[in-house]
Amino acid sequence: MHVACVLIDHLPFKLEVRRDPGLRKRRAIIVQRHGSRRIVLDASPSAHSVFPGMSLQEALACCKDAVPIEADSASYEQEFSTILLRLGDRSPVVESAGLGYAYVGLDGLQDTYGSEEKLIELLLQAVPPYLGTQIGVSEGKFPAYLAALSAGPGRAHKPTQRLTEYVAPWSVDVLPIEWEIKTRLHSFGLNTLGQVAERSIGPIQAQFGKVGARIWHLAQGIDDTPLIPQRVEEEMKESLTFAAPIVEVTALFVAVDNLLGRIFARIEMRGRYSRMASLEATVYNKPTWQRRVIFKTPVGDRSQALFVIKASLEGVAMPGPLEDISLTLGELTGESGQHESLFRDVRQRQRLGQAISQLKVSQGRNPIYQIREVEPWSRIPERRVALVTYDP
Amino acid sequence: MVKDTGKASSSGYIRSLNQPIDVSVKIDETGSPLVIKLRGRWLKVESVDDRWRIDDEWWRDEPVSRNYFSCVVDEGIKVAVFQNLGTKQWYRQRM
Repeated sequence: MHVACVLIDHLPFKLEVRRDPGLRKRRAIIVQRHGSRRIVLDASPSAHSVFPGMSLQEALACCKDAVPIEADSASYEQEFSTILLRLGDRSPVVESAGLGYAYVGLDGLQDTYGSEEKLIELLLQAVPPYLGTQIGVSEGKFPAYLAALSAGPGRAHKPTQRLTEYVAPWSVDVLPIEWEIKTRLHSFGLNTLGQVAERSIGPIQAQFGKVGARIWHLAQGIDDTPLIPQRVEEEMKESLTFAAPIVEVTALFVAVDNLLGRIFARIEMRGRYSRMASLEATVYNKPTWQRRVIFKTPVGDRSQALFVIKASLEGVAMPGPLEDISLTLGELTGESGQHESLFRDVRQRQRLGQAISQLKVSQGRNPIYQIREVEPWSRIPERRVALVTYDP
Repeated sequence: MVKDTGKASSSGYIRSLNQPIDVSVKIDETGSPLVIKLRGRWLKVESVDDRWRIDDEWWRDEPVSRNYFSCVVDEGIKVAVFQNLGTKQWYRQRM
């Protein structure tokens, strides 16, 4: 399996530098909130001792002069998904392996592009130059990842020697496994992949179980895990920029209604339904505000969608002045209609019957009545209709 | 003899709606309402739009015999009243 690993190291930091070029000269730690904890997502390349997953306190203890920056995950994801889409234009098999990492299947594409070099060049062009992407090409995902680590920014690398020899000098720290297992490998004196490869698979597997077998195979330069192409989902997106930042939720609803109107007016939305809406807004001086609304029943018109969105945003505090808003309707149904139950009426009656039985038990009698015509033709008004107990 | 329908006896509840409500009425010499007491207030009858008589259920102990008046009282409110010709009692009823 011929694979290219597209690696954008420190993607969040590079995006923050693009936003504020002054960060280039300082050391920064990008932190993400996990409940009450603040965890490091990324840091300046110069902050060597700071790793993703560390708590902010630990990170600041290691790197006292660093500036903490709140992560704008929505914008990082947005930027990366744009890159994935561009890679998808070049190859039909693109797997996202996390923020800043992607694997691209190269099998069968040489005839389309003339040569592998041309294809790699196109992959490099898919990523904006300021992100300094590194591309590694090899057989299997792990060797391709190591090759990408060897490549310089904006460059590609393809190992020429046998894969066992190529991976041998690399530290076990590059393995895609838990940190504890890496520490245990070091404690056994297995510091490089070559040292692991020299052992037979048995003892490694005995010590580390299933992961042990995977470690041994990776140390041999063998990675046969398949590429899992990401699903390309059809979405409908509309956005608008406010003349002045808005702070009132009612103004937000007006904007959402307008965007829904634009989306449902599109010809490709005719007779189609959506299961999910996503709202994204740029907040003045704050990270991007994002909210996802799942429709329990797919919605097929503007007022229905607005009703659900309004209900889900009720009581939600505005994160700050919103400068713009974009609305995406996703998980669109392929069919032009909605399945109705053939026995809807029967089911409703059954449900009503169950509810009434429960009321009978709790109140000792049936408290539900209906008005029935008894003698609608009668000249005596009180003979025409009567109140009778309702038993569906 | 009434035939057994075979149906199980039901604890169901049936109450006829639009039962007549007692009302006080003052009438003129022709028997038409002049003033009607509604919610504790005497309201002057501005006009009688319609009147009709019902005689029914003559086979019962208390046959139905009523004189209905469709009246317009203060502020254009329409009210239907009738007099039970057996008891001479006045009632109000929705039409």
